[in-house]
Amino acid sequence: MSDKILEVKNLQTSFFTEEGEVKAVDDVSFSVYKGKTLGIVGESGSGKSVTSLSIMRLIPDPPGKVMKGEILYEGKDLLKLAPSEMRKIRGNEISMIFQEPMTSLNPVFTIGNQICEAIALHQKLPKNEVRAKAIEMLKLVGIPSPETRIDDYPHQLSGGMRQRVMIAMALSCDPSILIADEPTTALDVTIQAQILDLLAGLQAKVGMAMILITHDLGVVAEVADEVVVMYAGRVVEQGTVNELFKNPKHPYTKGLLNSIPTLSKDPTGKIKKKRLETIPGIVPSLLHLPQGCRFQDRCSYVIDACRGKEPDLRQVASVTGANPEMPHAIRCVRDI
Amino acid sequence: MFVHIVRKLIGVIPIIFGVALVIFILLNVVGGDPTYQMVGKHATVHQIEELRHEYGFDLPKPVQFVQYLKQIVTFDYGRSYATKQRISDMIVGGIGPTLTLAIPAFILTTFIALCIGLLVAYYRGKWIDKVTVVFCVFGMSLSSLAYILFGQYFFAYKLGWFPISGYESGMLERFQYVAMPILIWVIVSLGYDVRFFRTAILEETNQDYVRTARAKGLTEPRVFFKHVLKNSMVPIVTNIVIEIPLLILGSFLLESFFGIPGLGSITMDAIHNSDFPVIKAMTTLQSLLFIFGNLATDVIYTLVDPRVKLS
Repeated sequence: MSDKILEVKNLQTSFFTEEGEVKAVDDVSFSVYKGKTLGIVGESGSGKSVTSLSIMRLIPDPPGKVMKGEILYEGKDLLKLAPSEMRKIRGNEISMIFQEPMTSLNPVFTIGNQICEAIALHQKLPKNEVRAKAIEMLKLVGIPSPETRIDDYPHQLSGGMRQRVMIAMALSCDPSILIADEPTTALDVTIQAQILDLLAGLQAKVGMAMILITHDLGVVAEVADEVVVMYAGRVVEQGTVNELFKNPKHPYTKGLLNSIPTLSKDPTGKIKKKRLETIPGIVPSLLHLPQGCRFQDRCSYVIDACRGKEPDLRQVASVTGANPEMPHAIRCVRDI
Repeated sequence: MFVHIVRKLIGVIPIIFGVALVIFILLNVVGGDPTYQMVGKHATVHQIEELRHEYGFDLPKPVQFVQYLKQIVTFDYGRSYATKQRISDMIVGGIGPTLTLAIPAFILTTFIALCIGLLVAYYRGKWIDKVTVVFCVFGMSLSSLAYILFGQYFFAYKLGWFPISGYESGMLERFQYVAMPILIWVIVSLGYDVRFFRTAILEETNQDYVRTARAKGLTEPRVFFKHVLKNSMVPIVTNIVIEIPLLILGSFLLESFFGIPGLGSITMDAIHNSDFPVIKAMTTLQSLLFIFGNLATDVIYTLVDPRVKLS
């Protein structure tokens, strides 16, 4: 059993809008283990990005605020740290990369300037060593001729290259946790695979833990060890990646898995065109949640009991062997 | 860089030609024959013909246009109908008083507005920001005429702190006359400038790269003064540079109310007297200044934004 490095306990993050309080993340708990990757999956609006920004304490306040819960990192509650202590953790021990490589780098500074800034901030190194380290990081993430590329501006690089720069920047201080918020969503499919390989390779090399946020189950299957499925601010199912793909128990997880396009051939060798399944409807507005299960209006297994009390997260039997780190659990009253 | 600037300068020539054509059509073709105004009510046909010939109004329009183009190139716009002075001398004489008022006013306004804009953008959403925005809107809503009348009545007439109007060309004496116009200029422009600078800066604070900078663990002042500020300089510099050439033309309102004999007053007088050559010269001057101001902005862009290349 590996070491627990981050534990999120009963996290609740709200946004205060003119129409009222929106609980974007509501009573979410999970743990991240050393050297492992936790995938957080869900549609837009499920609260996965807000969860990651809450860990970094980068929720814009106002309108957002972490209302309840604990985020334990090496025994310290990040939510209770002074801003200056939190700044020492950000970018140093916990780093983050974002969905939009096109806009996440500052257009008016060279990439070298931006990487060196992070290194100089957290490590006491002489100036030429800072630059050498930045070049080394660029080499590590596979940027060709890093000695000259370091003086490029972001607009001179492609989207994939910019995401590599973001990764280089995030890893420059050897963080113990990397939070990757949809790191490949904005990229071409071939580049996506490259970036995922790079992340997995770097993780194996430096032994950091990773939180990978995505709506793409294909990405999760490729790199995650454990998965948390979120829906409308709640964890609705969790388990190891094998367990979840072999034995999805929550109707929402089943729906997500069924909406992955597959290619199969019929006996004559022609590609079978199968109609893609979808989950009808959209994530409900967090201001007008239905009573009971939050998924009820989109669920084909809905029964009367779903409209009463909201179900708690409960453990279910695992088909791939019990895992004490990540027991299989669902927030659903039915056994299907 | 140098080659690009030269190329831009060459590109400006057709623009100037087009602008000249529009001004010529407006003033010499649409504007009608100025002779009738000059000769008065009791002129004979002979007198009119003579005057027409003297000023060249009897020449074909294309010839007149070529003459006008020659005026632009040589900066010799002939003589004023009203004062018979050489227009180029009038312009040279007017620049001094105009700049005595405009330059200190512009520098003060920009400096104060930038400081306030930075301050309120940094403390966005806090009470200091909200109070400032209210003051800005209040300041912008009041006509500058109100400030002029209040200043002249209260500070100049009642308290006697400043002369009501007038001008002396002595190096030091002139400043007692421009002090109050400068003050009014600053107050009138401040509301608009502060709001503009604040918006330009705030637009950047919501960008993704700001979040990246915070995620690195940078302090808030560092995020603001390094990452946000340089990006917001692009619209701010444009706004500032575009105003500089127009300073030479002066403030029509302030100059005429305070009796400062600058280019603003000269233009106002020319309009009152239908002094076409002066109006034409001032209009041309303004267009030229605007065109070259834009050119300067393009060049300065490349200094603040690496994405912009002169090519």
